[in-house]
Amino acid sequence: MLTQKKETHTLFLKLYSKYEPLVRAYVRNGLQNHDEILEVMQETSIIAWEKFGKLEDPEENFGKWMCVIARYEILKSRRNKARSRVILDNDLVETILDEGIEEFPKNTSKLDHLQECLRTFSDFNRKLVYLPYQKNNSFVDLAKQINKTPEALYKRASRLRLALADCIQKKLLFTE
Amino acid sequence: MKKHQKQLIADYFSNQLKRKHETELNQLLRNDPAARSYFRTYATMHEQLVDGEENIGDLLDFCSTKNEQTEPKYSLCKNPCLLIGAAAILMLCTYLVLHIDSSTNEATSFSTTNNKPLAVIIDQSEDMIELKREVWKQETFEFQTGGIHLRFNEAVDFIFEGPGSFEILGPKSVKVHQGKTRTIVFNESGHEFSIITPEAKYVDLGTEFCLNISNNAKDKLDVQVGEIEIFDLQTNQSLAKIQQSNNLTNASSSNWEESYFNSDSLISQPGDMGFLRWKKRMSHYAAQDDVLACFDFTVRQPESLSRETRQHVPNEWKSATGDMKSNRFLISNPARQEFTHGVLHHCAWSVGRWPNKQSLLFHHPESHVSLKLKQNQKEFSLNSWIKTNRMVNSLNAFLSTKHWNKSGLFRIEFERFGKLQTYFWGEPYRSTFYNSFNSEWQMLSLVIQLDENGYHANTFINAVSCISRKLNHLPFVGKTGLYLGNGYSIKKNRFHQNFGGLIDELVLWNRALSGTEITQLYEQGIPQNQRKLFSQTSP
Repeated sequence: MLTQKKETHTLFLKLYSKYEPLVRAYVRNGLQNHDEILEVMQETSIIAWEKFGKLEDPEENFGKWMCVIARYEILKSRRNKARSRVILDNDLVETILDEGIEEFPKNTSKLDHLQECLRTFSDFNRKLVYLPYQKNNSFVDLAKQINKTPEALYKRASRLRLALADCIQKKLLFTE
Repeated sequence: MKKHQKQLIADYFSNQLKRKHETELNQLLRNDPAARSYFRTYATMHEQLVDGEENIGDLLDFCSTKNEQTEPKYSLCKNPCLLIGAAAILMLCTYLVLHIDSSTNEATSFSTTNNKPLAVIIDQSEDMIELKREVWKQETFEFQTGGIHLRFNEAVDFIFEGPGSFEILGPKSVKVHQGKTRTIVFNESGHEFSIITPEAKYVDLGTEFCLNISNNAKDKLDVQVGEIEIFDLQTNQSLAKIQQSNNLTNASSSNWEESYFNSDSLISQPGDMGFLRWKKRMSHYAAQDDVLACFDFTVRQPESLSRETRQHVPNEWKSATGDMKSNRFLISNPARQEFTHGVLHHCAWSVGRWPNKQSLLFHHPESHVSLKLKQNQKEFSLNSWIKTNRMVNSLNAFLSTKHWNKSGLFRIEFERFGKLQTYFWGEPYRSTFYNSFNSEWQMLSLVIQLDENGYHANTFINAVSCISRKLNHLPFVGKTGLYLGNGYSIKKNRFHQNFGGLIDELVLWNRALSGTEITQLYEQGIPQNQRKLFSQTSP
């Protein structure tokens, strides 16, 4: 009995590690705030663990199943934060999330495409793409060092991120 | 999707979206499935980048190296330790310059101090991910097939074709391990551009030359213009000077033989990379179920028609196919055969978007290609490349239906000075002010889309929407005869609207292409010589 429980635990951890980045990306579709995303991920993982025993064919269905749980948690989180400013309408977010569950199998290839596309960038541009996401003051430091305004550098990084998203979309289009 | 629509999504994820744009973003995502798909892709990308572990410290170091001259505030004189360190580095560098052979000192001395990239990628045979990417550091490129076109220092074009690999060592130096290269020095500042192979070093003295470098054979050289000098890798002694047409002068060694020359090597020309990319894309279309027709505008040798070709010509031409050769046909090559092949009338083959690509010139008053749609389509998209600077009629038809007597028939025409017009039978006249008169290749796209509000026709020039209108009737009703490059007047009993310009490529889909797809078609299809280079400034 104990061995079986341990095996279940190991399998859950294995699948959770594999799918966590994809589920987090899915949650990002419905929430903007980083802390809210973490909260939803935490709730989702607890529920997933509680109900893991009932999941059929976990190797095949785990990722999509996690997204279904996350969808409920996202909408709950949005309802709880109803008084704060939300940009996207709730019914629209529901549509985006529903379509996201349908296309979930494609998400693994999205991550592969992201890496492939990043490899086509020069070293400088690749690092610049990450820069706006750094919490320290590196953006301002870099702008000073290369004698540019932070705004100009930010615009360049923004253009690169759009190019990166275009690249991923294009690869998805050609591999469908 | 339009660029500003993508920007709305990017702004949303970076919390930069302005309040006045929130409604627009909601409407966009609500109405456009392609926008929602892009939104989800952006979400995935964003979350991965947030979680990324790229070492930004490297970037700061890298930038400070590139900007030592422009950033004097990091003066070494302020810190004695740094001064001593710098002196040691200077001594080490002096030692390296004096003692390391010329093939390797290029690699250590390339660090740019003039805020210019070492090279810029002009074109490549794979789909361009990042147009005109700048190369700032030593970098190795490897190709199993296809190749790349680079520009060094706005003075040297270097075209490489695989299989093989090469390494950029500096703004004037490339090391080629294997492959075919063409080097074109078009500006004095590119003189002494060098190619280092496992066998020798080839130094430009103002020229265009080709090299074929393979693992198991001697380098094959072809000097087409000007002069080059060859150096021994070990001794750095001059081996020979070769002038154009491979005239050998100043040969210091009998080892340098005529067998080194290879005047018949077919090495890629500027523009060929785009052509290779286009061929790959055409093969892709040919296998797609949603492609109704894919006319590649490639001239065929005049041979008897195959049985397969005969089956797909318009009915009225089937009886004549016994006498017609394959060069009279514009062949469509998709997985499905909803369109017939086209039959050429009074057209002339001309130069297309790339040096090895053909296009059709509709110069004669009766020039046209006749083709036929075999069945109705609910949605469709059309994409073509055209040149519009030779038009002589008041109206010049790019595409017209054979008849003009019922709803669903349509024409795409240009006015004399390039103003684009689309006419749909029974629909109100709608003018456009978009002027496409231009001596460059332009991309023309038409998308017919069906949604809950009915049919919409959207016409694009160079991926920019220029006519958008609602339709009451579905175009392409029934089996429709079509004329490419002319319009026929039953009243006058003659063709009267020959296009006049050039047409290169025509692809039709049985669905509505998204804005994103049209933008990609444009970016991947525009010829290299029409791409405007980014200014080569520091990042």
